[in-house]
Amino acid sequence: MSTTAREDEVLGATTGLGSDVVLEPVSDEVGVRARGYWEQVWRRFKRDRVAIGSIFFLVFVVLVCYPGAWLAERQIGHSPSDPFTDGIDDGLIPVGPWSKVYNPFTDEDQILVLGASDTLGRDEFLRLLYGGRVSLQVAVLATIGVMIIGTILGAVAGYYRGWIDTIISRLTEITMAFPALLFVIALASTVGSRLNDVTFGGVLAPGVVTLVLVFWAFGWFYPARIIRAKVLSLREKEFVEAALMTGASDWRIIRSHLLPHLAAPIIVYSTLVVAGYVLAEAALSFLGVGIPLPTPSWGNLLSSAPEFYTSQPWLMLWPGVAVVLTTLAFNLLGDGLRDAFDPRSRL
Amino acid sequence: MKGRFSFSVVMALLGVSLLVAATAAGGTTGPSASDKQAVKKGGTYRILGTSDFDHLDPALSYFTHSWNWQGATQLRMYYYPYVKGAASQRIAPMAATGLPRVSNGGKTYTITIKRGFKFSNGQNVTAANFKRAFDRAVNAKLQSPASSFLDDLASVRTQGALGLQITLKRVAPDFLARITMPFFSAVPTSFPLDAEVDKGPIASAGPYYVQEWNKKTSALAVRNPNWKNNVEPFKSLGFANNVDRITYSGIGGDLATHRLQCERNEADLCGFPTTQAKELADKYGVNKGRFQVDQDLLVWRVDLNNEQPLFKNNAPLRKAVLHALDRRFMTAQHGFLAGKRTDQFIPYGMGGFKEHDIYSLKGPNYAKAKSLATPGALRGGKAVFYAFNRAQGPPVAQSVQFNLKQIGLDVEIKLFDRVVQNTKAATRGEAFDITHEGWHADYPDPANFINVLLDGRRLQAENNVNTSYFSGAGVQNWTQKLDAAYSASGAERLNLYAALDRDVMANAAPTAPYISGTSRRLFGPEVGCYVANGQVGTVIVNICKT
Repeated sequence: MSTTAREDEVLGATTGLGSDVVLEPVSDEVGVRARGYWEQVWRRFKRDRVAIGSIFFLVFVVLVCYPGAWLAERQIGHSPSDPFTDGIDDGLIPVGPWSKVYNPFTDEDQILVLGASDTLGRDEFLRLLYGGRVSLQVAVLATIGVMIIGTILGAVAGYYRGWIDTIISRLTEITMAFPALLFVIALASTVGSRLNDVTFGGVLAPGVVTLVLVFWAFGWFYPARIIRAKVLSLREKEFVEAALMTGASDWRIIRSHLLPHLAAPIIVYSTLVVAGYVLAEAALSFLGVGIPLPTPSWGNLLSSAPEFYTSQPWLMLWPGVAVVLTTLAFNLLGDGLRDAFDPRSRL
Repeated sequence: MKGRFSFSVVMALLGVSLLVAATAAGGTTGPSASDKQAVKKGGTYRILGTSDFDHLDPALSYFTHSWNWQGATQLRMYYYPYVKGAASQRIAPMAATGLPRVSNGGKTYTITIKRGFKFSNGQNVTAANFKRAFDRAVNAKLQSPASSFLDDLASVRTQGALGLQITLKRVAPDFLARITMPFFSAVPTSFPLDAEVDKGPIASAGPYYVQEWNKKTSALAVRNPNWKNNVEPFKSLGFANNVDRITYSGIGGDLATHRLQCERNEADLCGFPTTQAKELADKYGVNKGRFQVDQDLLVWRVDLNNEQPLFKNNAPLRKAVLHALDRRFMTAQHGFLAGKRTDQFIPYGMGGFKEHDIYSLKGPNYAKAKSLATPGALRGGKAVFYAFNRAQGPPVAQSVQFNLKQIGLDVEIKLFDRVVQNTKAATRGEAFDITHEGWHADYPDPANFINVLLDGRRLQAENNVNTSYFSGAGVQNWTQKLDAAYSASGAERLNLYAALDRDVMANAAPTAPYISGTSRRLFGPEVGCYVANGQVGTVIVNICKT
């Protein structure tokens, strides 16, 4: 291995966090290769057992919500939207876990494993599984979109400053001041139902696209402001000056020199908003935007549960636990990723 | 009716309708205070409600809880007496000396006002004060809901200080019933013809008057200092007027909290979550003082839009829908003791109601429904349902959605705030196929259901209450039959309305009534007795606290 080759690898590594580059001890006998940026990230990440556990948990949730829900429905013999007359008592209270209900279509008694979910006596277990699909779709897609838009606008505003910054900053303020709820209600009564039908061939649940667009439209400004502030500070650093002096283009500086430094705030903010979007989905569905009835979601299961907090507290527990564990998994995964991307942030 | 109407959902939310008992069942009373302790004079009657009043000006007030206050604060010429039994069904004079003298072939009513009533500001009540109420009601600028009840009014004239002559364009057997509504209460002649009076104190001639109204916060009514229970003309009315003050608060609050406040004696009348009705019934017993249930003149229904392509001239599909609905389940969504299942338009307890047994009340009859819902009748098999987003709105809509899916009709539910849903459904040409509505009688006459809600000649561009947009298709000579029933009186009138009810539901099926509702009330521990009235709800003037 020639010295030139080793220098190339060093140069390659500096496209990421230059300060994180580790050169293996050079031996005259054995050629040692410097690790690339992504390789180092991966090495650090896989040492974080909690983060790896979170990934396994999220994969488990996806498996449970997709093939699992489908299998459970076929195994149980009714759909998550089938109402059961005897799934409620005469006081309109849903029956508890492991209750037997009569299915008039199959002429058989069936067990509601987690009890009935609402005053329609529907199966909480199946609604929880199917609800996870909607919530994951909404939360993940909304977060990704919001972070992409916010990061791009924030980075551009912070890097270029001047009139570009002025325009983006005013746009941010206008969006922050915009009466989002009124817009959402107007959206619901105009194009809402047409957007609800966009499911990309059944890949997404009805209404997910509407919600995701709403969240994109009104959720980008927070990350944009965070990223802008961070970039304003970073662009004065020496490594950016050095990159400029070597003739690097603006796009290359933003992508290769600034973006890696933004990984930590992006990840931290992303993990925080994921859970927020699960709950926001329920609120917007209440206003008639988004998930149409009778499609279940963790958000609408949670929002209807407090009505029965004295009689069937389980109904708050199931979706609550699902949201908490999933959010926790995203948070821990985010922590792990942040540490992997920027080990200096681990204090 | 729109205002009262919208509020009827809020009332369902409250779990307590402040509206009242059926006339056939008569006004009902709670346990006598004498059974417990002596009635206390003085004190405050504390009402908790989640919604503010729409108006307290009698010309505009139309929410049910607003009428509850009108009952305590306003002086009307006639009213449905605040008593139990058959007497509560017979219109009686309040400010009038007796029943009107009817002349001119039934088109002219001459009424004499009793001498001695006074407004809270000290002015005497004269015929001019009632004329003012009519003048304000028909003033286009004021936009009083009362105007829709006066389209047959020709003139109102005073005859001296205490005489009032009302002339109609045509004979109207329900006219006397109409003027029992609080719209036609005496108002000071200083009340503007074209503007609302909404700043307290609001002068009125009833036993109490509104001293304060802090919008979206609270209201306070106190005794009319010029109302003397022990002398005529007040004495013969027999109002108890036990409490000194009436308060209304809790606006924007939570029903579960309101319930707790009543249980802790922090209030005297409260709402409660629908799902807690059974618990309250178990805890206090039904009609044993704290948790009171009275049959009401209220029907909830699912309207099928007869002007949109899906249901227009499509009686087979409309009937299929009525066979497919699970009325037991839909009724259950209103909570424990919320009412009886029905498939008829006229509510239980109202004159003209007869049991016809047209559709199944036990559960869906899918076999019959599927036989009617042929591919031709289904017309593509898609329907849009306008539902409201609170209380029983979403579950009833989903129950209908599930039932209709079984006969091949895919229902898309669109949720709105109740006011928005009601406004949209009331707009002619709005693109919905099904909507969820309730109707409480303004006065106990079947015309207030059949003629008001199913006469296509009343349809207009906006603010319709006939939200099935039914004009009579499917029933032979519908409008002639409507007019004949409206003009008739006595037993014949009731028989004709009973026949209309059967005809329209069996042959045209423009709408799907499913529950004939009750009023459920939760009282605080100090309330010893009450009277329920068909128009004004809990009769505040006769409330007794112990």
